[in-house]
Amino acid sequence: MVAIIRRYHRWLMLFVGLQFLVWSFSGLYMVLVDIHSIHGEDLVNAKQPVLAPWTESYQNTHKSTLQSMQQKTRPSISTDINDVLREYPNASNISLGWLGNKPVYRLTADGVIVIDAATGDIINSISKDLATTIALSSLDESRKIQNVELITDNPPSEIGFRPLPLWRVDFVGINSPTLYINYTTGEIVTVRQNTWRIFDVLWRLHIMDYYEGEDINNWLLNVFTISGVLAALSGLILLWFRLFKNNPAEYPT
Amino acid sequence: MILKQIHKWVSVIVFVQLFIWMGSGFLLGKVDSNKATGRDTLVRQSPASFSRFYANDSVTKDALKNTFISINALIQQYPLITQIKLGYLFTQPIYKLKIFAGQHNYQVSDYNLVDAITGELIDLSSPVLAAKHAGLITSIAKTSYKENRYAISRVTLLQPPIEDLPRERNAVWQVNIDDESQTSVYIRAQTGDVIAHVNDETRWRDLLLMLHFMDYTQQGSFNNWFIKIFAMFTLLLSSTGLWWIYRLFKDGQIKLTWFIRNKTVVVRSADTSKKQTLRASANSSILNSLLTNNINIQAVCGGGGVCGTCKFKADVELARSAADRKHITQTELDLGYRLACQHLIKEVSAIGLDKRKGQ
Repeated sequence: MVAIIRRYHRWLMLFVGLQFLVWSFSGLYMVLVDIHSIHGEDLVNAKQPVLAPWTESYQNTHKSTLQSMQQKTRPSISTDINDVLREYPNASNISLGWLGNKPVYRLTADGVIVIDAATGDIINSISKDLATTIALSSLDESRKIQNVELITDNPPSEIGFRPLPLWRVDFVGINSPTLYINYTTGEIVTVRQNTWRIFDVLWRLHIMDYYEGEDINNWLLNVFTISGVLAALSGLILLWFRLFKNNPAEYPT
Repeated sequence: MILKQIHKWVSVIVFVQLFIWMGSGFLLGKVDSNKATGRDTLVRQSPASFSRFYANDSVTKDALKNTFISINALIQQYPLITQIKLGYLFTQPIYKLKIFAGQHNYQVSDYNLVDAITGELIDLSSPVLAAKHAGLITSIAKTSYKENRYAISRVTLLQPPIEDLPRERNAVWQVNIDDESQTSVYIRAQTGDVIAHVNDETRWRDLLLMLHFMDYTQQGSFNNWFIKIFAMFTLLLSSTGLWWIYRLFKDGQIKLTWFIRNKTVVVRSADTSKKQTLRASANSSILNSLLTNNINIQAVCGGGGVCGTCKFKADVELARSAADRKHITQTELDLGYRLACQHLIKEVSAIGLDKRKGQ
C-alpha cells in the first residue's frame, strides 16, 4: 500500500510540484515585504502641511504644535469658499487642499475645476513643471527625477483603468518609484515601485490568473488546488508510515 | 539524504497549515464577492450640490451674503487642519476638516466635523450623542441600505479592535439591520462616512482570509510572524520536494515514455526456493514490479530510498545510487546487492531475493 501511495505522491507532485514552489515562493515574498511599504506609504508623505498661513504672533502662542511643521511662508487664502459657490452654485464635491505648494479649491461642476485659493485663478491643467514640483514635494527624501512624461494613450498596465491623461514621474533609484499625477487636479493617483511591480507579478502567479490577475476562481487554479490537496494527502500518509510504522518486522507486504 | 530528512521534518511542521491554505484558497474562490463586499445592499449617495443655498438668488449675490462659515475663520479656529471638504452629513451641510489621515481610510486618522452654517463642532464620537444628533447615525445607516423594509435592532459605538473590521483603527458606529444575512452597517465616528456593510458572507470570507493569512491574532494583516516562519518552512518543503523529483529523473527512476515496453526477468526467492518469471514494463522500478506481481519483498517506506529494506541481488553489476550506498554495506554492494526501488526492470535479467527478516 505504501508503494502505491508513494507512486501517487510522485506522479501528482510531478504535475503540481512546480506550482507548489511558485505558491510558497510568491507567498513568502508577499508576507515578508510589508504591504504598506509595497503601497508606497513610506515613500509618499501622507502628512500634508497645514493650511494656515502662520503669522509671527501665532507662532509664538502655538510654539509646541508648530515645532514639527515646516516653517515656510505660505500664501494666504484670499478667495473664500462662498466666493467659489457664488461662481459655481451647482458645484458638488468641494474641497480645499494642496496642489504642490499652493492651496487650491477642487470642485465638480460640468467636469472638475481647480481654482487657486490665493489668487482666484482657474488652473486649467497641470504643467510639466508643476507636476515635477508636486512629485518632489510629496516624497519624503530628496530624490532625483529621471523622467516626466504625459500619458494620453496606451496606459501602462500598472495603472489599470484610471482615467487619462496622467503625468508619469519616474524617479531614480534601485526601487524605481513612479508617481502618477492627475492632469487636471494634480492629485497623486497612484504610486508604483519595483517592490509593488514584483508583488503584482507574483500575485498573478499565486492565483494562476496570468492575464487579468483578478479571478481567484479560475479552472486552472481549481484543478491545481484539488490535485494539490490529493498530493499533500498522499504525502501525509507517507509521513505517517515513516514516523510510526518504521519497523520492518511488523510490516506486512 | 539530508534533504530527504528536511523534507520529512518540515512536513511534520507545516502539513496542517498546508491543508488550511489550499482549503481556504479554494473556498475563497467560491465566495460571492458582490455579497461579501456589501455591494448588493450598500447605496452610495451621489454628492449633492449646494445650489439651494446659492442658485437664482440675485439678492444674496449682490449683497455677497456668505451662507457658510468662511475658510479663514475655520483656519483661525482649527489651526492644524490640512484639508477642508464641504459636504453633507445626512441633510445638513458640514465641513469635514482633515488634520491627519493615512493612505487607507482604516488607518488612524484625525478629523473634525463642523456645521457649515453655524460653525458648531459636531461630535459623533461619544457613546451618548447630543440630542440634536441622536437620530443621525440611524438615518445615515438607513439611507445607505438599499431596501427600506428592515428594522434596526441595535446601534453601538465600538472602539478598535473591531471584530467585523479587523484592520480598522478608528472608532466606528455599528448599526445592526434585522435582515436575513445579519448586516451590520459601519459608520466612522469621526467623519460620519459609511465604511462598509458587513454581512454573513463577509464574515465567512474574513474567516477564510484569517485562516489563509494565519492571522490568528486578528490584526487584519498577512505580514505576521506566524506566516513568515511557516512560509519559509513551506518553501523549504517544496524546494526539497522538487529536488527529490529532479534526482528521480536524473537517476532514471522516473521515465516519461510514450508506450510501454515489457520485459521478462527471472526471480529467485529464498523464501519459496522457487524460480519464477516476471513480466513488467521495462521502465518500472523493480520494487513496484515485484509488488504488483505479488512477489514477497519488504518495503517499509514504499520506495522512497529512505528505509533500506527492499534489498535484492542483481545478476549484473549495477550503478550504485546514493540510497544504495547509504543502506547497503560495501561487501554486499560488491556482491551485487542493491535497493529494488532504485533500479528499473530494464537494468537486470535476474533478481535474487534473500529470506525476509523476522520470518
